[in-house]
Amino acid sequence: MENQYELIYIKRILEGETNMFSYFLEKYSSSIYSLIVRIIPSKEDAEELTQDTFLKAFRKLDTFKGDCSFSTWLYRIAYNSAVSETRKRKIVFPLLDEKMLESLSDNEMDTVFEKEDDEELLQKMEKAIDLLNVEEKTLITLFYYEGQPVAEIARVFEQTMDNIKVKLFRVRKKIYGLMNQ
Amino acid sequence: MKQDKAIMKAVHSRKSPTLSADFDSRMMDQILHAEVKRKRLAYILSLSSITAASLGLISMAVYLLKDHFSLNFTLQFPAFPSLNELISKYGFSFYIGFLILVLMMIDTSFRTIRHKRDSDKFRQFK
Repeated sequence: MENQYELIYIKRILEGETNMFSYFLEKYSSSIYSLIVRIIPSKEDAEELTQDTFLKAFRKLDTFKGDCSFSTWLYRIAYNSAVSETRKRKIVFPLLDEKMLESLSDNEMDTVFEKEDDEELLQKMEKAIDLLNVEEKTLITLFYYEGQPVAEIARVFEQTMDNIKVKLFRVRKKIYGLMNQ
Repeated sequence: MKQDKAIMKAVHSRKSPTLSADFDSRMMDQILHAEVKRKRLAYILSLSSITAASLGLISMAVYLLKDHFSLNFTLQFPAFPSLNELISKYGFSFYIGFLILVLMMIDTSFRTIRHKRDSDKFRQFK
């Protein structure tokens, strides 16, 4: 239902009622910003990227087909903008040895990830999340912070649901690996 | 995948800065500015294409007239057809032009009416 309303708004904007774009700004600016600010640590740069995301969305509004929700489409633009920005700045993310990751016990990892009252562990986890690359941070933010379903995340990344599930599992393992370094 | 309560808590406990208070209005100004620029560009493009088309038509008309009347601007004075024939030809052109103008005016007025009706509907819907 909400999608239909949004499609009507988009149609009106394309017909010349540009002011209606404020609806999308009010609704999505905070969530897009909170995604970008978790990828690009500088508050000012994140705000600038949020602006770019909305400007791109407005300029390419006629290409939005409505085959996914508008928020998913915006997340995709925001993610691509963040990726280009990190490439431009040549930000380097730490890599972990695959063999080391393979050697980690899944059961131990599951147990650690259920301990929500261990403050020291939570701090380690926050630091580990900071070291993730753009794709991994986006995955974590969309899945755990925004609570997006795997199907929607798959659309953001333009990948299959199975791929996203595998990636989420690997990100969890990487977080655990970084915590143990 | 289990609930991963610890990751959930770690992600949610991170203090996320908020957007500046005037972000939406500043953004809206930029959007409106972008729209004005887009419209201006579209206007310039349409004006250029109309000018190019008009020039093409004029040059074609000159060529046809020259060919039809076998005009030789440098060597001889053209033998014009009778006045009545000319009037009927120009009259026909003006008639077509007038017809196009009337149709365009009707089209514009219908578009305006439709736009107003849609806006009213939308306001009710909103």
